[in-house]
Amino acid sequence: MDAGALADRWRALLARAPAPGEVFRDPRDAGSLTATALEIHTPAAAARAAAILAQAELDPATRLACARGLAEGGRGAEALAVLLADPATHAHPDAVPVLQACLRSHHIPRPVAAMAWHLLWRLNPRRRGGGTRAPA
Amino acid sequence: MTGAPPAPPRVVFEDEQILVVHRPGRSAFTVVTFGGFMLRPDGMRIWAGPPIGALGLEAIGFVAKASNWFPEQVVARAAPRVRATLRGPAVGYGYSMGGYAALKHGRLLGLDAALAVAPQVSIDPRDVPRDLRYRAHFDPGLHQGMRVRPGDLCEFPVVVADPHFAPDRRHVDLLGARDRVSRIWLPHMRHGVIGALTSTAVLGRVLELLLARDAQGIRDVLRARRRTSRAWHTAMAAAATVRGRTTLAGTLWAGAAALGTPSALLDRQRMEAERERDRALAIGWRASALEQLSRRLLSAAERGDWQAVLHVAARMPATANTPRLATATTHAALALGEPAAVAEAAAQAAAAELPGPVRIELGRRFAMGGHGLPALAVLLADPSVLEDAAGRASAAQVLGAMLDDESMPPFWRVAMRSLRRRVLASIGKPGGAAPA
Repeated sequence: MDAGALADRWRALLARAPAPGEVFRDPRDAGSLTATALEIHTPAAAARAAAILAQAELDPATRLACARGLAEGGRGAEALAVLLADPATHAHPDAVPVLQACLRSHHIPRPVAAMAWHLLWRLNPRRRGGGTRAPA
Repeated sequence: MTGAPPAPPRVVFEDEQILVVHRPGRSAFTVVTFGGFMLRPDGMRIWAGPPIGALGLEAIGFVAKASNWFPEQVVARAAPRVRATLRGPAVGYGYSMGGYAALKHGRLLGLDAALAVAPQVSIDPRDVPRDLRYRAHFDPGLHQGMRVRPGDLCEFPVVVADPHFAPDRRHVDLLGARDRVSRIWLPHMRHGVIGALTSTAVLGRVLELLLARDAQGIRDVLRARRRTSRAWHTAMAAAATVRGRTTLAGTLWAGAAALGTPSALLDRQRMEAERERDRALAIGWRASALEQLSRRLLSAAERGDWQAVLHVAARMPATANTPRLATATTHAALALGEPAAVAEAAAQAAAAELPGPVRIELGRRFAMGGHGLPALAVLLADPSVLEDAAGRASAAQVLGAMLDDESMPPFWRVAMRSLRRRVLASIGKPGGAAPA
Protein backbone atom coordinates (compact mmCIF):
# COMPACT_ATOMS: atom_id res chain seq x y z
CA MET A 1 0.00 0.00 0.00
CA ASP A 2 1.39 3.42 -0.89
CA ALA A 3 1.91 6.09 1.76
CA GLY A 4 -1.11 8.11 0.66
CA ALA A 5 -3.51 5.18 0.88
CA LEU A 6 -2.08 4.21 4.29
CA ALA A 7 -2.54 7.75 5.57
CA ASP A 8 -6.13 7.79 4.25
CA ARG A 9 -6.91 4.52 5.98
CA TRP A 10 -5.37 5.77 9.23
CA ARG A 11 -7.39 8.98 9.09
CA ALA A 12 -10.58 7.00 8.42
CA LEU A 13 -9.91 4.71 11.35
CA LEU A 14 -9.24 7.65 13.65
CA ALA A 15 -12.44 9.30 12.49
CA ARG A 16 -14.41 6.17 13.33
CA ALA A 17 -12.60 5.60 16.65
CA PRO A 18 -15.00 5.29 19.60
CA ALA A 19 -15.15 7.85 22.38
CA PRO A 20 -13.84 6.75 25.81
CA GLY A 21 -16.01 4.01 27.26
CA GLU A 22 -17.73 3.25 23.95
CA VAL A 23 -17.42 0.30 21.61
CA PHE A 24 -16.12 0.20 18.03
CA ARG A 25 -19.07 0.44 15.68
CA ASP A 26 -17.34 -2.05 13.40
CA PRO A 27 -15.66 -4.67 15.65
CA ARG A 28 -13.02 -5.28 12.97
CA ASP A 29 -11.74 -1.71 13.41
CA ALA A 30 -9.84 -2.59 16.60
CA GLY A 31 -7.66 -5.05 14.70
CA SER A 32 -7.31 -2.73 11.70
CA LEU A 33 -6.25 0.14 13.96
CA THR A 34 -3.53 -2.05 15.51
CA ALA A 35 -2.30 -3.31 12.14
CA THR A 36 -2.32 0.11 10.51
CA ALA A 37 -0.46 1.73 13.41
CA LEU A 38 2.24 -0.93 13.10
CA GLU A 39 2.36 -0.45 9.32
CA ILE A 40 2.85 3.31 9.75
CA HIS A 41 5.72 2.32 11.99
CA THR A 42 6.06 5.47 14.08
CA PRO A 43 5.98 5.71 17.89
CA ALA A 44 3.28 8.35 17.62
CA ALA A 45 0.95 6.09 15.63
CA ALA A 46 1.46 3.20 18.07
CA ALA A 47 0.86 5.49 21.04
CA ARG A 48 -2.31 6.88 19.46
CA ALA A 49 -3.65 3.40 18.73
CA ALA A 50 -2.79 2.27 22.26
CA ALA A 51 -4.66 5.23 23.77
CA ILE A 52 -7.77 4.54 21.67
CA LEU A 53 -7.71 0.82 22.44
CA ALA A 54 -7.10 1.42 26.15
CA GLN A 55 -10.16 3.61 26.59
CA ALA A 56 -12.51 1.77 24.20
CA GLU A 57 -14.76 -0.98 25.54
CA LEU A 58 -13.42 -4.23 24.08
CA ASP A 59 -14.21 -7.80 24.90
CA PRO A 60 -11.24 -9.50 26.60
CA ALA A 61 -10.37 -11.63 23.56
CA THR A 62 -10.15 -8.59 21.28
CA ARG A 63 -8.15 -6.60 23.83
CA LEU A 64 -5.72 -9.48 24.26
CA ALA A 65 -5.39 -9.90 20.48
CA CYS A 66 -4.72 -6.18 19.93
CA ALA A 67 -2.18 -6.09 22.77
CA ARG A 68 -0.45 -9.14 21.39
CA GLY A 69 -0.35 -7.58 17.92
CA LEU A 70 1.31 -4.45 19.29
CA ALA A 71 3.76 -6.48 21.37
CA GLU A 72 4.74 -8.69 18.46
CA GLY A 73 5.17 -5.56 16.36
CA GLY A 74 7.81 -4.38 18.83
CA ARG A 75 5.59 -1.94 20.76
CA GLY A 76 5.80 -3.61 24.19
CA ALA A 77 4.99 -0.55 26.31
CA GLU A 78 1.93 0.34 24.22
CA ALA A 79 0.81 -3.29 24.34
CA LEU A 80 1.07 -3.29 28.14
CA ALA A 81 -1.01 -0.11 28.33
CA VAL A 82 -3.78 -1.76 26.29
CA LEU A 83 -3.60 -4.97 28.33
CA LEU A 84 -3.55 -3.32 31.77
CA ALA A 85 -6.31 -0.82 31.04
CA ASP A 86 -8.95 -3.40 31.91
CA PRO A 87 -8.93 -5.51 35.12
CA ALA A 88 -10.46 -8.35 33.08
CA THR A 89 -7.33 -8.72 30.94
CA HIS A 90 -4.81 -7.72 33.62
CA ALA A 91 -5.40 -11.01 35.44
CA HIS A 92 -6.46 -13.08 32.41
CA PRO A 93 -4.66 -16.42 31.96
CA ASP A 94 -4.33 -15.66 28.23
CA ALA A 95 -2.31 -12.56 29.12
CA VAL A 96 0.71 -14.86 29.52
CA PRO A 97 1.72 -14.97 25.80
CA VAL A 98 1.05 -11.23 25.51
CA LEU A 99 3.37 -10.49 28.43
CA GLN A 100 5.98 -12.83 26.96
CA ALA A 101 5.83 -10.91 23.67
CA CYS A 102 6.01 -7.57 25.53
CA LEU A 103 9.17 -8.66 27.32
CA ARG A 104 10.82 -9.46 23.99
CA SER A 105 10.42 -5.89 22.78
CA HIS A 106 12.80 -3.08 23.65
CA HIS A 107 12.47 0.35 25.25
CA ILE A 108 10.21 -0.64 28.15
CA PRO A 109 11.11 1.46 31.22
CA ARG A 110 12.88 -0.57 33.93
CA PRO A 111 10.12 -0.67 36.59
CA VAL A 112 7.44 -1.45 33.96
CA ALA A 113 9.54 -4.29 32.54
CA ALA A 114 10.01 -5.65 36.10
CA MET A 115 6.26 -5.39 36.63
CA ALA A 116 5.57 -7.29 33.37
CA TRP A 117 8.03 -10.02 34.31
CA HIS A 118 6.60 -10.54 37.79
CA LEU A 119 3.01 -10.33 36.57
CA LEU A 120 3.87 -13.02 34.04
CA TRP A 121 5.42 -15.12 36.83
CA ARG A 122 2.35 -14.70 39.02
CA LEU A 123 -0.05 -15.61 36.20
CA ASN A 124 1.99 -18.68 35.27
CA PRO A 125 -0.47 -21.60 35.39
CA ARG A 126 2.08 -24.07 36.76
CA ARG A 127 2.80 -21.70 39.64
CA ARG A 128 -0.90 -21.12 40.27
CA GLY A 129 -1.59 -24.83 40.38
CA GLY A 130 1.23 -25.50 42.82
CA GLY A 131 3.22 -27.34 40.16
CA THR A 132 4.35 -30.90 39.94
CA ARG A 133 7.77 -32.41 40.04
CA ALA A 134 9.25 -35.47 38.50
CA PRO A 135 8.96 -38.47 40.79
CA ALA A 136 11.85 -39.22 43.14
CA MET B 1 7.98 -77.05 55.44
CA THR B 2 6.70 -79.98 53.38
CA GLY B 3 8.84 -82.24 51.25
CA ALA B 4 6.66 -82.18 48.11
CA PRO B 5 8.29 -80.55 45.04
CA PRO B 6 6.66 -77.22 44.20
CA ALA B 7 4.36 -76.92 41.17
CA PRO B 8 5.34 -74.47 38.39
CA PRO B 9 4.38 -70.79 38.76
CA ARG B 10 1.08 -69.61 37.27
CA VAL B 11 -0.87 -66.43 36.75
CA VAL B 12 -3.68 -66.09 39.31
CA PHE B 13 -5.12 -62.82 38.03
CA GLU B 14 -4.40 -60.28 35.32
CA ASP B 15 -6.07 -57.12 34.08
CA GLU B 16 -4.86 -53.88 32.49
CA GLN B 17 -3.42 -52.63 35.81
CA ILE B 18 -1.82 -55.59 37.58
CA LEU B 19 -0.52 -59.14 37.23
CA VAL B 20 -0.70 -61.60 40.13
CA VAL B 21 1.62 -64.60 40.03
CA HIS B 22 1.50 -67.67 42.27
CA ARG B 23 4.91 -69.27 42.88
CA PRO B 24 4.35 -72.46 44.87
CA GLY B 25 6.88 -73.30 47.57
CA ARG B 26 7.33 -75.69 50.47
CA SER B 27 6.52 -73.40 53.40
CA ALA B 28 3.45 -73.77 55.60
CA PHE B 29 2.70 -70.07 55.16
CA THR B 30 2.38 -67.76 52.15
CA VAL B 31 4.35 -64.61 51.48
CA VAL B 32 2.42 -62.04 49.43
CA THR B 33 4.81 -59.52 47.85
CA PHE B 34 3.98 -56.23 46.18
CA GLY B 35 6.27 -54.90 43.49
CA GLY B 36 7.76 -51.46 43.75
CA PHE B 37 7.56 -48.36 41.65
CA MET B 38 9.94 -49.65 38.94
CA LEU B 39 9.02 -53.33 38.67
CA ARG B 40 6.93 -54.37 35.66
CA PRO B 41 5.62 -57.79 34.62
CA ASP B 42 8.32 -60.03 33.19
CA GLY B 43 7.14 -63.62 32.82
CA MET B 44 6.65 -65.17 36.25
CA ARG B 45 8.96 -62.68 38.00
CA ILE B 46 7.78 -61.31 41.34
CA TRP B 47 9.29 -58.73 43.68
CA ALA B 48 11.83 -60.26 46.15
CA GLY B 49 11.59 -63.44 44.07
CA PRO B 50 15.26 -64.57 44.42
CA PRO B 51 15.47 -64.70 48.27
CA ILE B 52 11.92 -66.11 48.47
CA GLY B 53 12.86 -68.77 45.92
CA ALA B 54 16.08 -69.55 47.81
CA LEU B 55 14.09 -69.96 51.03
CA GLY B 56 11.58 -72.19 49.21
CA LEU B 57 8.62 -70.10 50.37
CA GLU B 58 5.09 -70.34 49.04
CA ALA B 59 4.55 -66.93 47.40
CA ILE B 60 2.06 -64.78 45.59
CA GLY B 61 3.44 -61.69 43.85
CA PHE B 62 1.51 -58.59 42.83
CA VAL B 63 3.23 -56.80 39.96
CA ALA B 64 1.91 -53.44 38.71
CA LYS B 65 1.75 -52.68 34.99
CA ALA B 66 2.29 -48.96 35.76
CA SER B 67 3.24 -46.87 38.77
CA ASN B 68 -0.37 -47.12 39.89
CA TRP B 69 -0.09 -47.75 43.67
CA PHE B 70 -2.24 -50.90 43.33
CA PRO B 71 -5.68 -49.23 43.28
CA GLU B 72 -8.21 -50.65 45.70
CA GLN B 73 -10.86 -51.48 43.10
CA VAL B 74 -8.30 -53.43 41.05
CA VAL B 75 -6.97 -55.40 44.03
CA ALA B 76 -10.57 -56.05 45.14
CA ARG B 77 -11.20 -57.81 41.80
CA ALA B 78 -8.13 -60.01 42.33
CA ALA B 79 -8.78 -60.64 46.03
CA PRO B 80 -11.17 -63.66 45.80
CA ARG B 81 -8.70 -65.61 43.65
CA VAL B 82 -5.75 -64.60 45.85
CA ARG B 83 -7.54 -65.58 49.05
CA ALA B 84 -8.47 -68.93 47.50
CA THR B 85 -4.77 -69.51 46.67
CA LEU B 86 -3.33 -68.68 50.10
CA ARG B 87 -1.91 -71.63 52.00
CA GLY B 88 -1.71 -71.31 55.77
CA PRO B 89 -1.17 -67.93 57.38
CA ALA B 90 -0.24 -65.11 54.99
CA VAL B 91 2.30 -62.32 55.41
CA GLY B 92 2.51 -59.28 53.15
CA TYR B 93 5.85 -57.74 52.20
CA GLY B 94 6.50 -54.65 50.10
CA TYR B 95 8.73 -51.62 49.71
CA SER B 96 7.65 -48.02 49.03
CA MET B 97 4.68 -48.33 46.62
CA GLY B 98 4.60 -52.05 47.49
CA GLY B 99 4.72 -51.17 51.20
CA TYR B 100 1.63 -49.03 50.68
CA ALA B 101 -0.18 -52.00 49.13
CA ALA B 102 0.90 -54.36 51.95
CA LEU B 103 -0.75 -51.99 54.42
CA LYS B 104 -3.74 -50.85 52.37
CA HIS B 105 -4.90 -54.27 51.21
CA GLY B 106 -3.98 -56.27 54.33
CA ARG B 107 -7.53 -56.97 55.45
CA LEU B 108 -8.92 -57.18 51.89
CA LEU B 109 -6.49 -59.98 51.00
CA GLY B 110 -6.79 -61.78 54.34
CA LEU B 111 -3.18 -61.20 55.42
CA ASP B 112 -2.22 -62.07 59.01
CA ALA B 113 0.80 -59.76 59.15
CA ALA B 114 2.55 -57.26 56.89
CA LEU B 115 6.04 -55.82 56.62
CA ALA B 116 5.93 -52.45 54.89
CA VAL B 117 9.33 -50.92 54.19
CA ALA B 118 9.42 -47.11 53.68
CA PRO B 119 5.74 -47.10 52.65
CA GLN B 120 3.48 -44.23 51.67
CA VAL B 121 0.06 -43.89 53.28
CA SER B 122 -1.24 -42.12 50.17
CA ILE B 123 -0.05 -40.09 47.20
CA ASP B 124 -3.20 -37.97 47.15
CA PRO B 125 -2.09 -34.31 47.53
CA ARG B 126 -5.00 -33.75 49.94
CA ASP B 127 -3.54 -36.38 52.29
CA VAL B 128 0.15 -35.55 51.87
CA PRO B 129 0.37 -31.98 50.55
CA ARG B 130 4.11 -31.67 51.22
CA ASP B 131 5.21 -34.84 49.44
CA LEU B 132 5.81 -34.00 45.78
CA ARG B 133 7.81 -37.15 45.00
CA TYR B 134 4.99 -39.19 43.49
CA ARG B 135 2.38 -36.53 42.79
CA ALA B 136 2.69 -36.98 39.04
CA HIS B 137 1.33 -40.52 39.50
CA PHE B 138 -1.78 -39.48 41.42
CA ASP B 139 -4.86 -40.20 39.32
CA PRO B 140 -8.16 -39.01 40.83
CA GLY B 141 -9.98 -41.64 38.76
CA LEU B 142 -7.99 -44.50 40.31
CA HIS B 143 -7.07 -43.17 43.72
CA GLN B 144 -10.25 -41.93 45.40
CA GLY B 145 -10.04 -42.73 49.13
CA MET B 146 -6.60 -44.24 48.71
CA ARG B 147 -5.25 -43.28 52.14
CA VAL B 148 -4.46 -46.20 54.42
CA ARG B 149 -7.08 -46.27 57.20
CA PRO B 150 -7.02 -48.37 60.41
CA GLY B 151 -9.77 -50.58 58.98
CA ASP B 152 -7.59 -51.47 55.97
CA LEU B 153 -4.78 -52.95 58.02
CA CYS B 154 -4.12 -56.60 58.71
CA GLU B 155 -3.88 -57.70 62.33
CA PHE B 156 -0.11 -57.26 62.72
CA PRO B 157 1.35 -54.54 60.51
CA VAL B 158 5.01 -53.55 60.92
CA VAL B 159 6.64 -50.55 59.27
CA VAL B 160 10.37 -50.08 58.73
CA ALA B 161 11.60 -46.55 57.96
CA ASP B 162 14.24 -43.91 58.61
CA PRO B 163 12.88 -41.65 61.39
CA HIS B 164 15.07 -38.73 60.30
CA PHE B 165 14.09 -38.83 56.62
CA ALA B 166 11.17 -36.38 56.75
CA PRO B 167 9.39 -37.37 53.50
CA ASP B 168 9.02 -40.97 54.71
CA ARG B 169 8.58 -40.09 58.38
CA ARG B 170 5.52 -37.96 57.62
CA HIS B 171 3.82 -40.98 56.02
CA VAL B 172 4.57 -43.23 58.99
CA ASP B 173 3.26 -40.59 61.41
CA LEU B 174 -0.07 -40.61 59.56
CA LEU B 175 -0.49 -44.34 60.15
CA GLY B 176 -1.99 -43.96 63.59
CA ALA B 177 -1.28 -45.38 67.02
CA ARG B 178 1.95 -47.27 67.76
CA ASP B 179 0.04 -50.06 69.48
CA ARG B 180 -1.77 -50.69 66.18
CA VAL B 181 1.19 -50.36 63.79
CA SER B 182 4.67 -51.35 65.02
CA ARG B 183 7.49 -49.04 63.94
CA ILE B 184 11.06 -50.13 63.42
CA TRP B 185 13.38 -47.18 62.94
CA LEU B 186 16.60 -47.54 60.96
CA PRO B 187 18.21 -44.08 61.13
CA HIS B 188 20.18 -42.45 58.31
CA MET B 189 19.17 -44.93 55.60
CA ARG B 190 16.70 -42.49 54.05
CA HIS B 191 14.39 -44.15 51.49
CA GLY B 192 16.96 -46.95 51.08
CA VAL B 193 16.00 -48.82 54.28
CA ILE B 194 15.22 -51.84 52.14
CA GLY B 195 19.01 -52.32 52.04
CA ALA B 196 18.75 -53.75 55.58
CA LEU B 197 16.67 -56.69 54.26
CA THR B 198 18.65 -57.68 51.20
CA SER B 199 20.15 -60.78 52.84
CA THR B 200 18.24 -64.01 52.25
CA ALA B 201 18.97 -65.25 55.78
CA VAL B 202 17.83 -61.98 57.33
CA LEU B 203 14.62 -61.96 55.29
CA GLY B 204 13.87 -65.55 56.28
CA ARG B 205 14.37 -64.79 59.96
CA VAL B 206 12.31 -61.57 59.77
CA LEU B 207 9.40 -63.34 58.08
CA GLU B 208 9.42 -66.03 60.80
CA LEU B 209 9.36 -63.33 63.49
CA LEU B 210 6.58 -61.55 61.62
CA LEU B 211 4.47 -64.69 61.75
CA ALA B 212 5.26 -64.97 65.46
CA ARG B 213 4.18 -61.31 65.83
CA ASP B 214 7.49 -60.42 67.43
CA ALA B 215 8.25 -56.81 66.48
CA GLN B 216 11.03 -56.53 69.06
CA GLY B 217 12.68 -59.61 67.54
CA ILE B 218 12.54 -58.05 64.05
CA ARG B 219 14.01 -54.83 65.43
CA ASP B 220 16.91 -56.76 67.02
CA VAL B 221 17.63 -58.71 63.82
CA LEU B 222 17.66 -55.59 61.64
CA ARG B 223 19.78 -53.59 64.08
CA ALA B 224 22.30 -56.43 64.47
CA ARG B 225 22.37 -56.73 60.69
CA ARG B 226 23.71 -53.18 60.41
CA ARG B 227 27.25 -54.24 61.29
CA THR B 228 27.45 -56.51 58.27
CA SER B 229 25.24 -54.55 55.89
CA ARG B 230 26.81 -52.82 52.88
CA ALA B 231 23.67 -50.67 52.54
CA TRP B 232 23.89 -49.54 56.17
CA HIS B 233 27.59 -48.69 55.87
CA THR B 234 27.13 -46.65 52.68
CA ALA B 235 24.04 -44.87 54.08
CA MET B 236 25.84 -43.99 57.33
CA ALA B 237 28.98 -42.94 55.45
CA ALA B 238 26.88 -40.64 53.25
CA ALA B 239 25.13 -39.17 56.33
CA ALA B 240 28.48 -38.54 58.05
CA THR B 241 29.86 -36.94 54.87
CA VAL B 242 26.87 -34.60 54.56
CA ARG B 243 27.37 -33.54 58.20
CA GLY B 244 31.08 -32.87 57.64
CA ARG B 245 32.24 -35.66 60.01
CA THR B 246 35.18 -36.56 57.82
CA THR B 247 36.95 -39.11 60.04
CA LEU B 248 33.82 -41.12 60.79
CA ALA B 249 32.80 -40.92 57.13
CA GLY B 250 36.22 -42.28 56.07
CA THR B 251 35.88 -45.27 58.43
CA LEU B 252 32.39 -46.05 57.17
CA TRP B 253 33.31 -45.74 53.47
CA ALA B 254 36.21 -48.11 54.16
CA GLY B 255 33.82 -50.48 55.96
CA ALA B 256 31.45 -50.45 52.98
CA ALA B 257 34.36 -51.26 50.66
CA ALA B 258 35.58 -54.08 52.94
CA LEU B 259 32.08 -55.62 52.83
CA GLY B 260 32.37 -55.82 49.04
CA THR B 261 30.47 -52.75 47.81
CA PRO B 262 31.56 -52.21 44.16
CA SER B 263 34.04 -49.32 43.99
CA ALA B 264 32.16 -47.57 41.14
CA LEU B 265 29.00 -47.50 43.26
CA LEU B 266 30.94 -46.26 46.29
CA ASP B 267 32.56 -43.47 44.24
CA ARG B 268 29.19 -42.33 42.93
CA GLN B 269 27.54 -42.34 46.35
CA ARG B 270 30.48 -40.55 47.91
CA MET B 271 30.38 -37.86 45.23
CA GLU B 272 26.63 -37.39 45.68
CA ALA B 273 27.06 -37.05 49.45
CA GLU B 274 29.84 -34.49 48.99
CA ARG B 275 27.66 -32.52 46.59
CA GLU B 276 24.79 -32.57 49.09
CA ARG B 277 27.15 -31.37 51.84
CA ASP B 278 28.30 -28.45 49.61
CA ARG B 279 24.70 -27.57 48.81
CA ALA B 280 23.76 -27.57 52.51
CA LEU B 281 26.72 -25.30 53.28
CA ALA B 282 25.72 -22.91 50.47
CA ILE B 283 22.10 -22.73 51.64
CA GLY B 284 23.21 -22.08 55.22
CA TRP B 285 25.60 -19.38 54.07
CA ARG B 286 22.94 -17.76 51.90
CA ALA B 287 20.36 -17.67 54.68
CA SER B 288 22.78 -16.14 57.18
CA ALA B 289 24.09 -13.63 54.59
CA LEU B 290 20.54 -12.52 53.77
CA GLU B 291 19.74 -12.13 57.45
CA GLN B 292 22.83 -9.99 57.92
CA LEU B 293 21.97 -7.81 54.89
CA SER B 294 18.39 -7.36 56.14
CA ARG B 295 19.67 -6.17 59.53
CA ARG B 296 22.09 -3.73 57.87
CA LEU B 297 19.35 -2.34 55.63
CA LEU B 298 16.92 -1.74 58.49
CA SER B 299 19.61 -0.22 60.67
CA ALA B 300 20.61 2.19 57.84
CA ALA B 301 16.94 3.12 57.44
CA GLU B 302 16.69 3.89 61.17
CA ARG B 303 19.72 6.18 60.86
CA GLY B 304 18.19 7.83 57.79
CA ASP B 305 21.22 6.84 55.70
CA TRP B 306 19.28 6.45 52.44
CA GLN B 307 22.34 5.85 50.27
CA ALA B 308 23.33 2.94 52.50
CA VAL B 309 19.79 1.53 52.36
CA LEU B 310 19.85 1.51 48.55
CA HIS B 311 23.41 0.15 48.50
CA VAL B 312 22.40 -2.83 50.66
CA ALA B 313 19.10 -3.32 48.78
CA ALA B 314 20.99 -3.59 45.49
CA ARG B 315 22.92 -6.56 46.90
CA MET B 316 19.80 -8.47 47.94
CA PRO B 317 17.67 -10.61 45.63
CA ALA B 318 14.37 -8.76 45.14
CA THR B 319 12.37 -11.88 45.95
CA ALA B 320 13.94 -11.92 49.44
CA ASN B 321 12.24 -8.60 50.23
CA THR B 322 9.86 -8.52 53.18
CA PRO B 323 7.22 -5.79 53.57
CA ARG B 324 9.53 -3.97 56.03
CA LEU B 325 12.52 -4.10 53.69
CA ALA B 326 10.48 -3.04 50.63
CA THR B 327 8.97 -0.15 52.61
CA ALA B 328 12.40 0.99 53.82
CA THR B 329 13.84 0.81 50.28
CA THR B 330 10.89 2.73 48.83
CA HIS B 331 11.23 5.38 51.51
CA ALA B 332 14.97 5.73 50.84
CA ALA B 333 14.51 6.02 47.06
CA LEU B 334 11.77 8.62 47.41
CA ALA B 335 13.80 10.58 49.95
CA LEU B 336 16.74 10.75 47.55
CA GLY B 337 14.48 11.32 44.55
CA GLU B 338 17.01 10.10 41.96
CA PRO B 339 15.10 8.61 39.01
CA ALA B 340 17.40 5.57 38.76
CA ALA B 341 17.02 4.84 42.48
CA VAL B 342 13.24 5.27 42.28
CA ALA B 343 13.04 2.94 39.28
CA GLU B 344 15.17 0.34 41.05
CA ALA B 345 13.15 0.50 44.28
CA ALA B 346 9.91 0.15 42.28
CA ALA B 347 11.32 -2.87 40.43
CA GLN B 348 12.27 -4.43 43.79
CA ALA B 349 8.79 -3.82 45.21
CA ALA B 350 7.20 -5.25 42.03
CA ALA B 351 9.20 -8.44 42.54
CA ALA B 352 8.59 -8.80 46.29
CA GLU B 353 5.78 -11.01 47.59
CA LEU B 354 3.76 -8.40 49.48
CA PRO B 355 0.32 -8.47 51.08
CA GLY B 356 -2.20 -6.48 49.00
CA PRO B 357 -2.50 -3.52 51.43
CA VAL B 358 1.31 -3.13 51.57
CA ARG B 359 1.58 -3.20 47.77
CA ILE B 360 -1.16 -0.58 47.45
CA GLU B 361 0.49 1.60 50.10
CA LEU B 362 3.87 1.46 48.35
CA GLY B 363 2.17 2.27 45.04
CA ARG B 364 0.50 5.24 46.74
CA ARG B 365 3.85 6.52 48.03
CA PHE B 366 5.40 6.41 44.56
CA ALA B 367 2.30 8.07 43.07
CA MET B 368 2.25 10.83 45.72
CA GLY B 369 5.94 11.42 45.02
CA GLY B 370 5.04 12.15 41.40
CA HIS B 371 6.43 8.87 40.02
CA GLY B 372 3.56 7.54 37.91
CA LEU B 373 5.22 4.64 36.09
CA PRO B 374 7.01 3.30 39.19
CA ALA B 375 3.67 3.48 41.04
CA LEU B 376 1.98 1.59 38.21
CA ALA B 377 4.74 -1.04 38.26
CA VAL B 378 4.36 -1.69 42.00
CA LEU B 379 0.58 -1.67 41.98
CA LEU B 380 -0.09 -3.86 38.95
CA ALA B 381 2.69 -6.44 39.40
CA ASP B 382 0.32 -8.68 41.33
CA PRO B 383 -3.13 -9.42 39.85
CA SER B 384 -4.52 -10.30 43.30
CA VAL B 385 -4.45 -6.58 44.24
CA LEU B 386 -7.64 -6.02 42.24
CA GLU B 387 -9.38 -9.21 43.38
CA ASP B 388 -11.62 -7.80 46.12
CA ALA B 389 -13.72 -4.66 46.44
CA ALA B 390 -11.60 -3.14 49.23
CA GLY B 391 -8.43 -3.59 47.19
CA ARG B 392 -10.11 -2.12 44.12
CA ALA B 393 -11.28 0.96 46.02
CA SER B 394 -7.77 1.62 47.39
CA ALA B 395 -6.15 0.90 44.03
CA ALA B 396 -8.50 3.37 42.34
CA GLN B 397 -7.22 6.09 44.69
CA VAL B 398 -3.63 5.26 43.76
CA LEU B 399 -4.52 5.30 40.05
CA GLY B 400 -6.06 8.74 40.56
CA ALA B 401 -2.89 10.00 42.27
CA MET B 402 -0.78 8.53 39.46
CA LEU B 403 -2.51 10.77 36.93
CA ASP B 404 -0.91 13.79 38.59
CA ASP B 405 2.41 12.77 37.06
CA GLU B 406 2.31 14.75 33.85
CA SER B 407 5.61 13.31 32.69
CA MET B 408 3.92 9.94 32.06
CA PRO B 409 3.54 9.18 28.34
CA PRO B 410 0.00 10.14 27.25
CA PHE B 411 -1.00 6.59 26.27
CA TRP B 412 -0.10 5.40 29.79
CA ARG B 413 -2.15 8.21 31.32
CA VAL B 414 -5.14 7.24 29.16
CA ALA B 415 -4.69 3.59 30.06
CA MET B 416 -4.51 4.28 33.80
CA ARG B 417 -7.50 6.65 33.63
CA SER B 418 -9.46 3.93 31.82
CA LEU B 419 -8.39 1.30 34.33
CA ARG B 420 -9.49 3.57 37.19
CA ARG B 421 -12.87 4.10 35.52
CA ARG B 422 -13.39 0.36 35.08
CA VAL B 423 -12.26 -0.41 38.63
CA LEU B 424 -14.67 2.16 40.06
CA ALA B 425 -17.50 0.86 37.85
CA SER B 426 -16.86 -2.68 39.11
CA ILE B 427 -17.45 -1.58 42.73
CA GLY B 428 -20.34 0.76 41.88
CA LYS B 429 -18.46 3.93 42.85
CA PRO B 430 -19.02 7.34 41.20
CA GLY B 431 -16.59 8.01 38.36
CA GLY B 432 -17.05 4.53 37.01
CA ALA B 433 -20.25 5.00 35.03
CA ALA B 434 -19.12 7.73 32.69
CA PRO B 435 -15.69 8.09 31.13
CA ALA B 436 -13.43 10.28 33.22
